[in-house]
Amino acid sequence: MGDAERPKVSELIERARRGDAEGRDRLFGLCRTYLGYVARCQVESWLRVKVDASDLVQQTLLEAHRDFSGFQGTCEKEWLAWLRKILAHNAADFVRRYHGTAKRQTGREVPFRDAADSLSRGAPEPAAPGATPSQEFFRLDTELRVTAALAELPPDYQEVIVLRNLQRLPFNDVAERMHRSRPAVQMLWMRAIKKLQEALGDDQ
Amino acid sequence: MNASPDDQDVLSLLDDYLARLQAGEAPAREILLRERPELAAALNLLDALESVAPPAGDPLVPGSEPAGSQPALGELPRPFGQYELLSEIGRGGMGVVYKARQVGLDRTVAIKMILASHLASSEHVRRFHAEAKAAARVEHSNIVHIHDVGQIHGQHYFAMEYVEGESLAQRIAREPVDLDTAVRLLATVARAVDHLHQQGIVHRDLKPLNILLDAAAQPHVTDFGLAKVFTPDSEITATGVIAGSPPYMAPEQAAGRSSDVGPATDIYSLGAILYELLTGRPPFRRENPLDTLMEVLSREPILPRRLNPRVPRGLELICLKCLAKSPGDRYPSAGALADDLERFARGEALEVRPPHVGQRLWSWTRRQPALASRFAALGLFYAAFVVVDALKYLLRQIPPDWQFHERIAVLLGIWGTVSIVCQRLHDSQRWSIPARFVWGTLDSLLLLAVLRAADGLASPLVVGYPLLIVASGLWFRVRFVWFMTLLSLISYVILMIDFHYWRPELQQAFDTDPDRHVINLIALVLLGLAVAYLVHRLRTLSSFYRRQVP
Repeated sequence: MGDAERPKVSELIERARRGDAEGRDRLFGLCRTYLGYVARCQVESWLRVKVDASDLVQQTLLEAHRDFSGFQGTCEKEWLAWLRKILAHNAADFVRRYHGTAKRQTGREVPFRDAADSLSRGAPEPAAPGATPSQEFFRLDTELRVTAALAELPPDYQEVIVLRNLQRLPFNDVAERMHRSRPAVQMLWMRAIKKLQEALGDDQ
Repeated sequence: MNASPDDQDVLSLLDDYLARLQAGEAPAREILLRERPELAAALNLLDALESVAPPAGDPLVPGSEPAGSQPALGELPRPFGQYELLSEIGRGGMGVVYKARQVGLDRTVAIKMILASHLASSEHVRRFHAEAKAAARVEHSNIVHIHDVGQIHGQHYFAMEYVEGESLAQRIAREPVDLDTAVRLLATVARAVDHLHQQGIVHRDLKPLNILLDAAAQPHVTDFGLAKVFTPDSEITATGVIAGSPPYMAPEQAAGRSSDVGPATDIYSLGAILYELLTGRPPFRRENPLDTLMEVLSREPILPRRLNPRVPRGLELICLKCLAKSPGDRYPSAGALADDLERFARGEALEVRPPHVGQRLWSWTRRQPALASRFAALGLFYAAFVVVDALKYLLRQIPPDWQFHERIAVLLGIWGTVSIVCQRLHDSQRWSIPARFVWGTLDSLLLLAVLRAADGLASPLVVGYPLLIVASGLWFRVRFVWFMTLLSLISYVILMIDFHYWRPELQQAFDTDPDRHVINLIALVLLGLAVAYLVHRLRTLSSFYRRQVP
């Protein structure tokens, strides 16, 4: 894969702004995984229950697509901050709606499809990603690279990192959530970090 | 899965690093890497994951906010029930105030969010709603109207009229308010407060910050009645979160006598605001709340005309009547205060009468206690001296030493004059602290002069030194106590030289054994230590209190 096929986020922003549809699709595709983690962790740490955040991500990408002309920045940092801002709005709505409609269910693990469905309003997918994130992440800066690599790990490795690092839960809570002992999740976390490091390692 | 000892080691290092990172501290990365350079990649990874993690806590969801956070942190504008929060206007002890739009009615309102920590129990919540509803019934053109009280997502709030403009506090800070404007403003505010009182509501927290000026410079009173919800009978009071604002607080409020708080309390605060309008500063404001409270309780303010000679006598009388320590001595109602202010504006005779001689003397001693107490002490000693000499003459026919009397009288006269000068110096904000040290130094020098004129160490007037040390504690400054202790020790040593070398004839009074002096010197040091420690404890208490009152 040549360098031209693995562009930087800033280049993709530039291309998307010029009206290059492929650049735009790849830009959005790259951030989907990242947004997925942020959305899930945001909502879960607020509600303290398991959440399916995919509709939240969908909604956020839709709005980002729609309002793309309003984005002023040029670098990856600004781009991610902009996405997070849109996400924060939607996440707050999500939580508010959840509190309005499902107040009595707090504490139970329930999927939030119902609440989230009303957000997506059946709109079409913004774009099909041009290349899969795993192929692209070598050239990307840390935040996107880390989330892309994270998505490639086995599920229990992902879970332990999401709970301990992204949701900032202490190991005792992580152990409880994963139905394992505390030493076991600590070891799991160590191995997950090592694995993630290896996945990123070649490039550092 | 068996962990090697090294794995355990790495785990605890990484876990510790992450814990610090998540707590918002700067982890000791360099030190860690010097010992374990191979961990660099792992630390980078932890840093990167931390930057992906969403910001901790969110205000929208009750219970998720970290302790001590403000009720709202989120992005603006954002929806809040039927409102859309537009921008943050201010933050106070009670919570955050937002400018907002009421969507249905399309009007601009101000929304005050109450910090969750201030409504700890359901009893608080009930009282908050009851008070806010009572306040919402008040309709007056100079009172900020409360539209709505409620709770959205567990967040208690009230929505009120939005006044475009600045607070009186900002106005005063910007430039001095001229006298006519001050009188007009205060008369209007007093009328509005009178209206509140007629509805059975006591404001309890009147201060320039709570008086908003609209574009036409008309005042609007805000934030009334709610202070009560947060005050009595709870742990919230114990930490003093909302105890009012010390510089504008009436003595009965400052003393915590909540049963005495009533309309007269607001009249005091109106007087404090008038005082600030006239002189540019509130009647009592020290750098820490404890000193301010002490002054509110026991001092008379400096006469406004001394701070601003252009203040007319009548206005000064009105102001001081409001600031009377006893609620009964103030105006009977805010309406009566407004009447007198309006009379003053029209140039008519005032209701308020100048105080009689006794009241003036009493208030003078409270205004300048340091001076008054010196006069009293000097006068008492001199009177005792005269009486004792008179008795000696009458009973034992010992004729008084007129020359000695004269010298002492002159020295005490100088002492009195010096004190007046020092008090003047101390009253000026700028020289206040140096004046204290100058005054203390002169006190000890004059005491030394008196002792030199008298029998030196053989004179019982040596008790003046412990007195000076104890009195120095009344300034509530540890450093000043040490200063006076040191001066007393130096003076005592000079008197020892006097006793042993300059006037050996004094040695007839008692033997020349050094133990007497050693004991006296140690006693002075210990006294200084005890007073300094006492002051230190008071100040610790005071700074604790300051942390609680923003």
